[in-house]
Amino acid sequence: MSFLKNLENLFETKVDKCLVCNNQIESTFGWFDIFCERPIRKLCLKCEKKFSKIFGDICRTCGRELRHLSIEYYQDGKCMDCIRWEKNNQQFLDRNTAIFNYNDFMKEIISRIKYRGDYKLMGIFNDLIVEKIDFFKKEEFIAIPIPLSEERHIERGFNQAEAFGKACGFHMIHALSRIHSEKQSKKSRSERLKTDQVFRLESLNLAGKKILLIDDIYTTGTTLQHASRILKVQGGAREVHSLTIARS
Amino acid sequence: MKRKVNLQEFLTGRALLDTEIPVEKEVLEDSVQKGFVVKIEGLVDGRCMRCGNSDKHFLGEYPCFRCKTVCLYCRKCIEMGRISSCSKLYTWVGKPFTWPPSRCHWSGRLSEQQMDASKKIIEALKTGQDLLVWAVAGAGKTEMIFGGIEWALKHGKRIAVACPRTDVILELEPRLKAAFPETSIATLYGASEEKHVCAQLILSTTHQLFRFKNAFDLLVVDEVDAFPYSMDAELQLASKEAAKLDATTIYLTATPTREWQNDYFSGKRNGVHIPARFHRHPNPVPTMKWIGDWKKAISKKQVPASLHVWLSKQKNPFLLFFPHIELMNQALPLIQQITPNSLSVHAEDPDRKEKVQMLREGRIQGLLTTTILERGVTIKAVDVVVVGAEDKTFTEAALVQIAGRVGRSPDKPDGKVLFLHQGKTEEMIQAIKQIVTNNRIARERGLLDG
Repeated sequence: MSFLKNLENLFETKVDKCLVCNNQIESTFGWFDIFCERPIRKLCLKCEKKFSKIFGDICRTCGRELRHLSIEYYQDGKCMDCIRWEKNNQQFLDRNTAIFNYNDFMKEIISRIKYRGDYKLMGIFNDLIVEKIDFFKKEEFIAIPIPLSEERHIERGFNQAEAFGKACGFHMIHALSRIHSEKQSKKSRSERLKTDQVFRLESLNLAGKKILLIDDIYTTGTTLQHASRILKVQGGAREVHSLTIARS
Repeated sequence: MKRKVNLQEFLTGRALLDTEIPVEKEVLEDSVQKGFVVKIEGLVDGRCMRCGNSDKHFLGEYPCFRCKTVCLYCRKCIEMGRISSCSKLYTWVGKPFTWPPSRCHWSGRLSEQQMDASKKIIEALKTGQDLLVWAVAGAGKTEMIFGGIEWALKHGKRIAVACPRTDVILELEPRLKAAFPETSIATLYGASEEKHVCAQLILSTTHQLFRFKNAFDLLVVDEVDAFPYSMDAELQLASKEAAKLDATTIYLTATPTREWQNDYFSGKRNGVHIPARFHRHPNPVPTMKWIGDWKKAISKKQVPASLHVWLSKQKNPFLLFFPHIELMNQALPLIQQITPNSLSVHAEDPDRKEKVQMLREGRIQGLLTTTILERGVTIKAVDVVVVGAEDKTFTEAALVQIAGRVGRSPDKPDGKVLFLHQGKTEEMIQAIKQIVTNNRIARERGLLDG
């Protein structure tokens, strides 16, 4: 029966539109479409090509690509930024996994989601990130989104980190809240690095647990380091990893 | 951050989100209590109350932190600030604000045909009718509307001059501000800083009209056929809703659709036709030439023979129109081998303006372009070639507009327009017919010299 139904669908020529460019997605019709129910596509090929997935040699800690860095900016598979965190005894995050490079296209996508508030666009990541997140699911990490301040959360209507976690299919726990409300993106790197603790741990016992923090972008790593510190020092977490859409 | 504004002036004829209104929340709520302002739902039954969208692709849902339910939101007009199920649009329902009368300070002279159109526009305003102004590229459309605007200003009416394209709005702004120095004018487009300024005369992209409801007595829609206005039913609805019920709409275009042309000729549509240019020379008529399988030639890194011949003889500056950006980019290095002084330009090119300027100043000889330069561009002594004129991007209107780039200057009123095609299309034939008809009517009416 489903075979017939699929055929029917074909003749109906249901066209999906790309969530990014709103153009019709050209059908790549094949045998698959006759025997299997066609999944709804959210991205056209043209837009999909504009993403730059992180691959090859990456920094063991922050997950950035190393091949574009000149030789003096990394050592033993770690980038200078991460080595600096270690030297200052501020390295609490065990490892960040980022899926994409923060190219112009990614910049546009994230800004459309975050600042314009186009939540639906987050859906494009569903099919693009499967392999990487399976690991965290199997290993039973506790997923925690980086929170927004109350003020910003009301303004945006949703938390983009939480939205990303949802798109990945994580069950998330809201173990952190924000104390300060100043916008991170308005601060310079040195200002950001100086900032004191910005998070509060909500009463939850995380002793010995493996945590997966979820955020949209890894820029300097300050936010994630702060969150990792409080989770380990106050919460007693054993390991803290993080997952971000992009590494800038 | 909140400035003090007169809410009556600010909200008359508009429907805005609270975040767009620069007054304290209490002041706004107080006006609602007193019945001067009403609040309407942002979305009703899956329809956006600002832009009218109800297409599911352009609607989304999110778990809303503000109202703690799942909110529907509109993706279509999200660039203007997101509208969700829990947002409210505020609009003024008290006594409308009125502006002091002002007049026109333009001191130029109208040609006979411009004068005729200007009179018809004022007539349409007095009788509350809509009017099509069909004026060929180079007829001097802008000056024709000054009379109508002045009449409306004198009678305390509110006016919008809207165009789908930001480029055109930016070009109109200084001319209107110079002609109407006493009038409050606001220019609204995507990146404009005056977005939240309120004025009697609004110069706006059609898109920005979404923020107005029941506001205008006179709506002038320039380039009515231009993308995306002609493509987008919602934008047309927006301009309808922005105007008052008894408003006059003036449609300005060089290339009305075939339906509108027929309606005009048969008398079904009230209109005025200006078939000749300001400089009284005929509109250049395109010629057609077979180009063969040009896509295949370009993919084999060859310039099609007929184009090669044309280019090697070409001395004047030229525009080469391509239907697709990819093919254009493949063709550029090949064409540079014949005319090394060539560049290409497309919609997202950040150096678009600079490159057009280079062509104008003779720093380059040729510019390869997508349809982005089909209108609004004036380059002295330019010739144009449409490569692959059979492509469906090249509609009758597009082809007439492209031909309209040639012979704009009174010192150089002629030039070449060539359609290189792989099979004549109805659109090409109709475009040529339209131009020939315009010239014939112009000659009959004595609007051409020589």
